[in-house]
Amino acid sequence: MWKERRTDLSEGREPGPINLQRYKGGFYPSGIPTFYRSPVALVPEDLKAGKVDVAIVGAYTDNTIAMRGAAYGPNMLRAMSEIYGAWGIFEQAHVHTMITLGKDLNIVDYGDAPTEPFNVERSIHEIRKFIAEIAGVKHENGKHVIPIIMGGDHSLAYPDLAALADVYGKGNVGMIHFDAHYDGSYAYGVTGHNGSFTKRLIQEGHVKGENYIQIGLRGWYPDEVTWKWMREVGIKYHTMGQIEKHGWEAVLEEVMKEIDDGPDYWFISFDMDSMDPTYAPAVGSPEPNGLTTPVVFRMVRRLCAEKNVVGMEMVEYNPLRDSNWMTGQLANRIVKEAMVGIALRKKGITEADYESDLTKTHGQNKLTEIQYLTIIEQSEKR
Amino acid sequence: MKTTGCIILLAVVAMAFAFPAAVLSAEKSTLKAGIPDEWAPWKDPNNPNVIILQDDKDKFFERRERPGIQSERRAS
Amino acid sequence: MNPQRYKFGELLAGFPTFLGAPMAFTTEDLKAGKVDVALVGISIGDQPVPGGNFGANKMRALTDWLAFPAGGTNNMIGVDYGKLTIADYGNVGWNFFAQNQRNVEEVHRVVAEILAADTIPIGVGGTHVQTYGFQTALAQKYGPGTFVTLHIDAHYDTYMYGFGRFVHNGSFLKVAIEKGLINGSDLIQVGLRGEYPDNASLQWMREQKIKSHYMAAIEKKGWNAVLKEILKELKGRKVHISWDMDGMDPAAAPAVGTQDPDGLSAAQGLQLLRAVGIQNEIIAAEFNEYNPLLDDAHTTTGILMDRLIRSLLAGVQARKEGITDPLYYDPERLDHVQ
Repeated sequence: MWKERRTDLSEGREPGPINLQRYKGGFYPSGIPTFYRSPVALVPEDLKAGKVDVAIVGAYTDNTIAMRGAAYGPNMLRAMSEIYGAWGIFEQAHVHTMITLGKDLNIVDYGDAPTEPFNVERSIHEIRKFIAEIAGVKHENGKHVIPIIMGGDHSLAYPDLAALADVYGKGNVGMIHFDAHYDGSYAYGVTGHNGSFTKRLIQEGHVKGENYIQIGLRGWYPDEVTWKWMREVGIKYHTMGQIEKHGWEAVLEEVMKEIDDGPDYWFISFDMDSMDPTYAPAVGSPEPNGLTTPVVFRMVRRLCAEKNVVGMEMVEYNPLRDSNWMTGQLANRIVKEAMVGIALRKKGITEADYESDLTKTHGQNKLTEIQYLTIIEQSEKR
Repeated sequence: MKTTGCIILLAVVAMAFAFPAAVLSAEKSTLKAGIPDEWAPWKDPNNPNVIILQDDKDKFFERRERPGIQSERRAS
Repeated sequence: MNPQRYKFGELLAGFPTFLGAPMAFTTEDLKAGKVDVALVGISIGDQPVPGGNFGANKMRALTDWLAFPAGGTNNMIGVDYGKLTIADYGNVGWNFFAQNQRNVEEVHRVVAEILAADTIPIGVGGTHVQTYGFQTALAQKYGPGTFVTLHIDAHYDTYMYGFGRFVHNGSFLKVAIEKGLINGSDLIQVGLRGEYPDNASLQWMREQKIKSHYMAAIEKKGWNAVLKEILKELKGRKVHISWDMDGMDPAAAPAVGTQDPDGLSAAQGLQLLRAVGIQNEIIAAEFNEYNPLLDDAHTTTGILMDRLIRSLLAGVQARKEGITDPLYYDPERLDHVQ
C-alpha cells in the first residue's frame, strides 16, 4: 500500500511543474511548504516538459543505530527551516556568485520517495527505482535531471548511489562522502542501516573503492582491521586530523585532483554529522570537532560548479533534536550552496573558486593598486 | 547636550507620527475590494494608501513627569 | 489538485498539507470539487511574543504519526470525518511590514472566496486579530448580526482601541460589536480568566449583553453544567468559532505567547467542538495563537490543535449523518459488553 501510486497523477493537465503558491512571492513563514517554495512535479513527463535541472525529493528512512527521528526531516525542511528569506518574485541573489536560484535554475519539488516505516530493507529498492526514474530523464541537450534527496537517515546512500549507477553505468559514478563516520559496518549482521552502505556499495560494485572519497572522519571508529580494509579497497579518506594539520584548502585541492583522476560522474552524500555539533547539533549521532560552515559552503559550491555532480543527498538531520531549527536552516543552506554551484556550471562558469567581481572586493582601493604597480615597475627598472 | 539629543530624537519620533499615515503599496487601488469602508475605521475612503491612526497613537512615548522621584502610588 | 503521489501514507510522508488533504486555489476549485471544508493557513503575527506566523506551516508539517488522506474515525462518536470533502486552501498572504489591519483585509478577501463556494472556511494558525477579517466576510455573506461568535480564550479581547490601532489583538471583538458585525448578545465567551477584564470593561461587556463563561463558573458549577448552558445559548444559530489556543490550559497547550494557567483541559475542548459541530450549523472556524517556536518537543500544542480541528470535523460530519444529540456517544465505545 505504501508504494501504490495514484492512477490519476497526470489526468486533466498539461505535463510540467505545478506551482502551488497563491501569491507571486513572499517571506518564508508564508507559502505552501514545498522545498524552497518550488513548483511540484509528480511524474517524469513533468520533469521533461519543464526542462527541470534539479528535482528535490524527500525520503524518510529512519534506521539509525543512534537517536531516530530523521524521518521527520523532509517535511520539516519544507515547512520550518527558513526563519527568514524570501521566495518567488522577492528572491535575492547569492552574495558570492550573484546567482538567483529561482531564475537561474529550474528546481522542482518531486514529492517523497516511497518509504516503508518498518523495514528499511524493503524501502531501499523502491527508493532506488524512484531515484533512477528521476535521474533517467534526459533533456534534449543531453543533460540528465539532478536528483537531490532530503533525508531521512543515511541508509539512503545505498539506494541513491545505486540508482545513479543504474542510470550512468555500474562503477561510472564516484562518491564524495561528507561524514564523521566511515559507514562501512555490517553491525549486528544488518546490511541495510545508516552505517553500512560504504561496504555494501563497494562490495556490490556500484562504486569502485578508488572512486570513493570520504571527508571529515573522526571520533573512535572503525578498528584497525577496518582501516586496513579501507586501504585495500582504495577508499580515499580525509580525516579531520588531515584537515587540521594541512588546512582544508589543501585537502580540497587534493580532493579536486582525485576527482579529476576518477570517473565522469560524481555523487555527493552529505551527512549533517560531518558538521561540528556547534553548528549542527540536531543529528542522530553528533561527533565533536567537525567541519564548519565557511569550509563546507565553499567545498560544496566548488564541487558542484567545477566537477560533474549528478546527484546529492542531505541526510541525518533529526528535527526532534533541533531545539531552534538551527540545524534545519543549515541543512537547507548547504543544499542551496550546492544548487548555486550547479547553476554556475549550467551557465558555463567552471573556473576554480569563481566569485562575482562585485562582491569579491569592494574595489575602492584603486590608489593602492596603482602604487603597487609602480613599485613593481620600479623594481623591474632596477 | 544629552537633553538636546533627547529632544531632537523626540521631535523625529513626533514628526513620524504627526502624519497619521503609513504609505503602503500603490497597488492597493487595483486590488479587489477588501473590508467595506464602514467596517474598517482605519481606512480613508479618499486616500487608499493611508492608514488612519487612532488617537492613542503616542501613548507608548508618554513620559512620567519626574522620573525617579514621582510616587508610584496611584490615586484611588 | 492533489499533490500526493501515493494513495496512502503516514503524515510525515508526502507533501505537507493540512491533514494531508488535497489543495484548492480558487472559488471555482471549491465548487467543482464540492468541498465541504477548506482549511486555510494564516501567518499574521500580532502577538507581543513573535512566532505565530510559523503556526500555519508547522501545522502542515506536524511531527505526528497519523495517516493521510484526511480522515479517520472519531472514537467518541464513531463517525468518520473522511466522508467530508476537505481541502487545503493554501495560505493567506501576509505583508510583514504592513500594519496588521491591512493584513486583516487579505484575510477577509480569501475567506470571502471560500464562503462564495458555500464551503466552511477553517483558519489555521496566525493571530487572534484575524477574527475581524472572518467576521466582516461572514457579515457580508450572511448579513450583520445573523451569526454567533463562539470565542474560546483566556482573554476577553474587548479591550479599548489603543496605541494607534482600531483593530488589534485585544480590541477586535469590541470593534466587531460596535460596527454591528455581531450583536453583543451573540458573543459567547468560554474560558476567561487571569487578571482582567477590569471593572470598566466588565461594565461595558454587561451593557452589550455578552455571554461570558469564566473559568470561575466552570470551577463552581462544573464543566457539564456550563457546557449545557453554552449549548442552550447556541441552539439553532449559525456559529463562527474563534478558538484561541491560550483558552486551553498551558499544560495541554504550552505554545502560546500569552499563557494563563488554569484553562480548559484537552478533553473539555475536544468535547465542546464535537458537541457544537453536531448541534449547530458551523459557518466558519479559526484556530489561532499557536506559536510553534515555544512548543514542547515541537509538537505538543500543534497536535492538540490538529485534534481539535479533527474533533470539530467529526461533529460536522455527525450532523450530516443525522445525529442530533450534541452529547452523543457511540454505544460501541462506551462498554465492551464482553
